[in-house]
Amino acid sequence: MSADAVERIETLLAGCGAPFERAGDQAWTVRLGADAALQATVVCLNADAGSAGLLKVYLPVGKLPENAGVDFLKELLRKNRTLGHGGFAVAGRDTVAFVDTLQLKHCDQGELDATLAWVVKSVNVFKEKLDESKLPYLDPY
Amino acid sequence: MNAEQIEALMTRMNLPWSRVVKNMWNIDDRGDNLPGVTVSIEPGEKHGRDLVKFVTFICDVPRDAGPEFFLDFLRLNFRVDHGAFAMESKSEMFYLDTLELAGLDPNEFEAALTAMRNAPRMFQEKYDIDIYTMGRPQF
Repeated sequence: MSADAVERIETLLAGCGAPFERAGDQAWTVRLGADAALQATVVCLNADAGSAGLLKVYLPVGKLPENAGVDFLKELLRKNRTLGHGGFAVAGRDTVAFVDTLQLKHCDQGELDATLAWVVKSVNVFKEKLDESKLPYLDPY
Repeated sequence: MNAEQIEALMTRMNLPWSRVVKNMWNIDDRGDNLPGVTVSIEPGEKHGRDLVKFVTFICDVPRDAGPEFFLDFLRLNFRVDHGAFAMESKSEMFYLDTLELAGLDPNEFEAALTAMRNAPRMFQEKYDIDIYTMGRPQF
Protein backbone atom coordinates (compact mmCIF):
# COMPACT_ATOMS: atom_id res chain seq x y z
CA MET A 1 0.00 0.00 0.00
CA SER A 2 1.47 3.31 -1.04
CA ALA A 3 2.44 6.00 1.43
CA ASP A 4 0.21 8.40 -0.48
CA ALA A 5 -2.82 6.18 0.03
CA VAL A 6 -2.07 5.82 3.73
CA GLU A 7 -1.68 9.57 4.09
CA ARG A 8 -4.92 10.22 2.23
CA ILE A 9 -6.87 7.77 4.38
CA GLU A 10 -5.43 9.08 7.62
CA THR A 11 -6.12 12.66 6.55
CA LEU A 12 -9.75 11.72 5.93
CA LEU A 13 -9.99 9.91 9.27
CA ALA A 14 -8.42 12.82 11.12
CA GLY A 15 -10.94 15.11 9.43
CA CYS A 16 -13.78 13.10 10.97
CA GLY A 17 -12.63 14.12 14.42
CA ALA A 18 -12.94 10.63 15.87
CA PRO A 19 -10.01 8.84 17.52
CA PHE A 20 -8.43 6.28 15.23
CA GLU A 21 -5.43 4.01 15.18
CA ARG A 22 -3.72 1.79 12.68
CA ALA A 23 -4.87 -1.81 13.04
CA GLY A 24 -2.86 -3.43 10.28
CA ASP A 25 -1.16 -2.78 6.98
CA GLN A 26 -4.41 -1.75 5.38
CA ALA A 27 -6.75 -1.38 8.34
CA TRP A 28 -7.68 1.22 10.91
CA THR A 29 -9.88 1.21 13.97
CA VAL A 30 -12.10 4.25 14.51
CA ARG A 31 -13.83 4.88 17.82
CA LEU A 32 -17.27 6.36 17.41
CA GLY A 33 -20.40 7.24 19.33
CA ALA A 34 -20.90 8.27 22.94
CA ASP A 35 -17.72 7.70 24.94
CA ALA A 36 -16.15 6.44 21.74
CA ALA A 37 -17.55 3.05 22.66
CA LEU A 38 -18.15 1.82 19.14
CA GLN A 39 -15.17 0.34 17.39
CA ALA A 40 -15.58 0.51 13.62
CA THR A 41 -13.06 -0.90 11.19
CA VAL A 42 -11.87 0.79 8.03
CA VAL A 43 -10.08 -1.45 5.55
CA CYS A 44 -8.50 -0.39 2.30
CA LEU A 45 -9.04 -3.06 -0.35
CA ASN A 46 -7.28 -3.30 -3.69
CA ALA A 47 -4.73 -0.94 -2.22
CA ASP A 48 -2.19 -1.83 -4.86
CA ALA A 49 -4.62 -0.72 -7.51
CA GLY A 50 -3.90 2.87 -6.56
CA SER A 51 -6.84 5.06 -7.37
CA ALA A 52 -9.14 2.05 -7.75
CA GLY A 53 -8.80 1.22 -4.06
CA LEU A 54 -11.89 0.77 -1.94
CA LEU A 55 -12.52 1.80 1.63
CA LYS A 56 -14.72 -0.70 3.40
CA VAL A 57 -16.13 0.64 6.65
CA TYR A 58 -17.89 -1.80 8.94
CA LEU A 59 -19.15 -2.32 12.44
CA PRO A 60 -20.58 -5.54 13.85
CA VAL A 61 -23.94 -4.56 15.33
CA GLY A 62 -25.13 -7.87 16.70
CA LYS A 63 -25.86 -11.49 16.07
CA LEU A 64 -28.60 -13.04 14.06
CA PRO A 65 -31.18 -14.46 16.45
CA GLU A 66 -31.01 -18.23 16.49
CA ASN A 67 -34.56 -18.38 15.25
CA ALA A 68 -34.09 -15.71 12.60
CA GLY A 69 -36.50 -16.59 9.87
CA VAL A 70 -37.56 -15.16 6.57
CA ASP A 71 -39.47 -12.25 8.08
CA PHE A 72 -36.52 -11.08 10.17
CA LEU A 73 -34.11 -11.31 7.24
CA LYS A 74 -36.56 -9.48 4.99
CA GLU A 75 -36.82 -6.73 7.57
CA LEU A 76 -33.05 -6.28 7.59
CA LEU A 77 -33.08 -5.97 3.82
CA ARG A 78 -35.98 -3.52 3.96
CA LYS A 79 -34.07 -1.42 6.48
CA ASN A 80 -31.32 -1.13 3.89
CA ARG A 81 -33.70 0.81 1.67
CA THR A 82 -34.21 3.40 4.37
CA LEU A 83 -30.62 3.90 5.49
CA GLY A 84 -28.86 7.01 4.24
CA HIS A 85 -25.69 5.12 3.43
CA GLY A 86 -24.44 1.55 3.41
CA GLY A 87 -26.47 -1.38 4.56
CA PHE A 88 -26.77 -4.34 6.86
CA ALA A 89 -24.82 -7.44 5.92
CA VAL A 90 -24.12 -10.83 7.37
CA ALA A 91 -20.49 -11.75 7.95
CA GLY A 92 -19.41 -15.23 8.92
CA ARG A 93 -22.07 -17.50 10.33
CA ASP A 94 -24.25 -15.12 12.26
CA THR A 95 -22.66 -11.69 12.69
CA VAL A 96 -24.76 -8.80 11.49
CA ALA A 97 -22.65 -5.82 10.48
CA PHE A 98 -23.32 -2.42 9.08
CA VAL A 99 -21.06 -1.95 6.08
CA ASP A 100 -20.41 0.76 3.54
CA THR A 101 -17.90 0.77 0.72
CA LEU A 102 -16.38 3.95 -0.63
CA GLN A 103 -14.20 4.46 -3.66
CA LEU A 104 -10.98 5.93 -2.36
CA LYS A 105 -10.54 7.89 -5.58
CA HIS A 106 -13.83 9.73 -5.13
CA CYS A 107 -14.10 9.72 -1.36
CA ASP A 108 -14.21 13.19 0.12
CA GLN A 109 -14.62 14.30 3.71
CA GLY A 110 -18.38 14.64 3.36
CA GLU A 111 -18.77 11.05 2.15
CA LEU A 112 -16.71 9.56 4.95
CA ASP A 113 -18.37 11.75 7.60
CA ALA A 114 -21.80 10.65 6.38
CA THR A 115 -20.81 6.99 6.37
CA LEU A 116 -19.44 7.14 9.91
CA ALA A 117 -22.59 8.93 11.07
CA TRP A 118 -24.63 6.02 9.71
CA VAL A 119 -22.31 3.53 11.38
CA VAL A 120 -23.39 5.03 14.71
CA LYS A 121 -27.07 5.17 13.76
CA SER A 122 -27.06 1.60 12.52
CA VAL A 123 -26.54 0.29 16.05
CA ASN A 124 -29.86 1.72 17.22
CA VAL A 125 -31.63 0.67 14.06
CA PHE A 126 -30.53 -2.90 14.63
CA LYS A 127 -31.25 -2.86 18.37
CA GLU A 128 -34.75 -1.68 17.62
CA LYS A 129 -35.12 -4.54 15.19
CA LEU A 130 -34.08 -6.99 17.86
CA ASP A 131 -36.36 -5.56 20.51
CA GLU A 132 -38.27 -8.58 21.78
CA SER A 133 -41.33 -6.43 22.38
CA LYS A 134 -41.52 -5.95 18.63
CA LEU A 135 -41.45 -9.64 17.90
CA PRO A 136 -42.75 -11.64 16.20
CA TYR A 137 -41.69 -10.06 12.96
CA LEU A 138 -45.12 -9.89 11.47
CA ASP A 139 -45.12 -9.07 7.82
CA PRO A 140 -46.59 -5.57 7.60
CA TYR A 141 -47.23 -5.80 3.89
CA MET B 1 -24.13 19.37 -8.42
CA ASN B 2 -27.85 20.05 -8.77
CA ALA B 3 -30.76 18.53 -10.69
CA GLU B 4 -30.03 20.48 -13.85
CA GLN B 5 -26.41 19.43 -13.79
CA ILE B 6 -27.41 15.79 -13.29
CA GLU B 7 -29.66 15.99 -16.34
CA ALA B 8 -26.90 17.65 -18.36
CA LEU B 9 -24.46 14.97 -17.27
CA MET B 10 -26.79 12.11 -18.21
CA THR B 11 -27.28 13.72 -21.60
CA ARG B 12 -23.52 14.07 -22.05
CA MET B 13 -23.19 10.39 -21.13
CA ASN B 14 -25.68 9.65 -23.92
CA LEU B 15 -27.99 7.86 -21.51
CA PRO B 16 -31.64 7.20 -22.35
CA TRP B 17 -33.00 9.10 -19.36
CA SER B 18 -36.42 10.50 -18.65
CA ARG B 19 -37.66 12.63 -15.78
CA VAL B 20 -40.25 10.83 -13.64
CA VAL B 21 -40.97 13.72 -11.31
CA LYS B 22 -38.88 16.57 -10.03
CA ASN B 23 -35.55 15.19 -8.79
CA MET B 24 -36.21 11.67 -10.03
CA TRP B 25 -35.14 10.11 -13.30
CA ASN B 26 -35.30 6.74 -15.00
CA ILE B 27 -32.48 5.50 -17.13
CA ASP B 28 -34.08 2.88 -19.32
CA ASP B 29 -32.89 -0.30 -20.90
CA ARG B 30 -32.84 0.33 -24.63
CA GLY B 31 -32.07 -3.19 -25.59
CA ASP B 32 -28.45 -2.85 -24.57
CA ASN B 33 -28.93 -5.60 -22.01
CA LEU B 34 -28.15 -3.18 -19.20
CA PRO B 35 -30.68 -2.78 -16.43
CA GLY B 36 -32.72 0.32 -15.87
CA VAL B 37 -31.66 2.54 -13.00
CA THR B 38 -33.69 5.08 -11.06
CA VAL B 39 -31.72 8.10 -9.91
CA SER B 40 -33.21 10.44 -7.34
CA ILE B 41 -32.25 13.31 -5.11
CA GLU B 42 -33.50 12.68 -1.58
CA PRO B 43 -33.22 14.77 1.54
CA GLY B 44 -30.39 13.78 3.83
CA GLU B 45 -30.46 13.64 7.57
CA LYS B 46 -28.95 17.08 7.86
CA HIS B 47 -30.42 20.17 6.26
CA GLY B 48 -28.68 20.94 3.03
CA ARG B 49 -27.03 17.52 2.84
CA ASP B 50 -29.12 15.95 0.12
CA LEU B 51 -28.37 12.49 -1.18
CA VAL B 52 -28.28 11.01 -4.65
CA LYS B 53 -29.76 7.51 -4.68
CA PHE B 54 -29.24 4.97 -7.44
CA VAL B 55 -31.65 2.06 -7.42
CA THR B 56 -31.82 -0.88 -9.79
CA PHE B 57 -34.26 -3.75 -9.68
CA ILE B 58 -32.62 -7.15 -9.33
CA CYS B 59 -35.37 -9.74 -9.16
CA ASP B 60 -38.67 -10.79 -7.72
CA VAL B 61 -38.30 -12.93 -4.65
CA PRO B 62 -39.62 -16.42 -5.26
CA ARG B 63 -42.67 -17.20 -3.17
CA ASP B 64 -41.05 -20.21 -1.59
CA ALA B 65 -37.77 -18.44 -0.79
CA GLY B 66 -36.35 -19.67 2.48
CA PRO B 67 -33.93 -18.01 4.91
CA GLU B 68 -30.89 -19.01 2.81
CA PHE B 69 -32.16 -16.94 -0.10
CA PHE B 70 -32.15 -13.76 1.99
CA LEU B 71 -28.95 -14.70 3.80
CA ASP B 72 -27.20 -14.98 0.43
CA PHE B 73 -28.00 -11.35 -0.33
CA LEU B 74 -27.06 -10.22 3.17
CA ARG B 75 -23.73 -12.04 2.85
CA LEU B 76 -23.15 -10.46 -0.54
CA ASN B 77 -23.65 -7.06 1.07
CA PHE B 78 -20.43 -7.63 2.95
CA ARG B 79 -18.50 -8.33 -0.24
CA VAL B 80 -19.82 -5.95 -2.88
CA ASP B 81 -17.70 -3.04 -4.10
CA HIS B 82 -20.57 -0.54 -4.10
CA GLY B 83 -23.90 -0.10 -2.37
CA ALA B 84 -26.09 -2.80 -0.91
CA PHE B 85 -28.95 -5.13 -1.66
CA ALA B 86 -32.26 -4.04 -0.21
CA MET B 87 -35.93 -4.81 -0.34
CA GLU B 88 -38.58 -2.18 -0.79
CA SER B 89 -41.73 -4.22 -0.81
CA LYS B 90 -42.83 -7.72 -0.01
CA SER B 91 -41.17 -9.37 -2.96
CA GLU B 92 -38.79 -7.10 -4.84
CA MET B 93 -35.04 -7.17 -4.44
CA PHE B 94 -33.10 -4.05 -5.34
CA TYR B 95 -29.53 -2.97 -5.44
CA LEU B 96 -28.86 0.59 -4.38
CA ASP B 97 -26.07 3.03 -3.81
CA THR B 98 -26.02 6.45 -2.19
CA LEU B 99 -23.76 9.43 -2.66
CA GLU B 100 -23.68 12.81 -1.00
CA LEU B 101 -24.98 15.44 -3.43
CA ALA B 102 -22.70 18.11 -1.99
CA GLY B 103 -19.30 17.79 -3.60
CA LEU B 104 -20.51 15.19 -6.08
CA ASP B 105 -18.43 15.38 -9.22
CA PRO B 106 -19.24 13.99 -12.67
CA ASN B 107 -16.64 11.22 -12.43
CA GLU B 108 -18.11 9.97 -9.17
CA PHE B 109 -21.63 10.09 -10.56
CA GLU B 110 -20.58 8.21 -13.67
CA ALA B 111 -18.68 5.58 -11.67
CA ALA B 112 -21.68 4.91 -9.43
CA LEU B 113 -24.07 4.75 -12.34
CA THR B 114 -21.85 2.42 -14.32
CA ALA B 115 -21.55 0.13 -11.30
CA MET B 116 -25.32 0.03 -10.95
CA ARG B 117 -25.91 -0.74 -14.62
CA ASN B 118 -23.33 -3.52 -14.54
CA ALA B 119 -24.48 -4.85 -11.19
CA PRO B 120 -26.64 -7.84 -12.14
CA ARG B 121 -24.07 -9.14 -14.61
CA MET B 122 -21.23 -8.49 -12.17
CA PHE B 123 -22.98 -10.39 -9.40
CA GLN B 124 -23.53 -13.30 -11.71
CA GLU B 125 -19.93 -13.44 -12.90
CA LYS B 126 -17.96 -12.33 -9.88
CA TYR B 127 -19.96 -13.80 -7.08
CA ASP B 128 -21.24 -16.85 -8.91
CA ILE B 129 -24.89 -16.29 -8.19
CA ASP B 130 -27.52 -17.07 -10.70
CA ILE B 131 -30.05 -14.29 -10.70
CA TYR B 132 -32.08 -16.17 -13.28
CA THR B 133 -32.89 -18.93 -10.86
CA MET B 134 -33.56 -16.61 -7.93
CA GLY B 135 -36.57 -14.87 -9.38
CA ARG B 136 -37.81 -13.04 -12.40
CA PRO B 137 -34.86 -11.15 -13.85
CA GLN B 138 -35.38 -7.73 -15.31
CA PHE B 139 -33.51 -8.42 -18.51
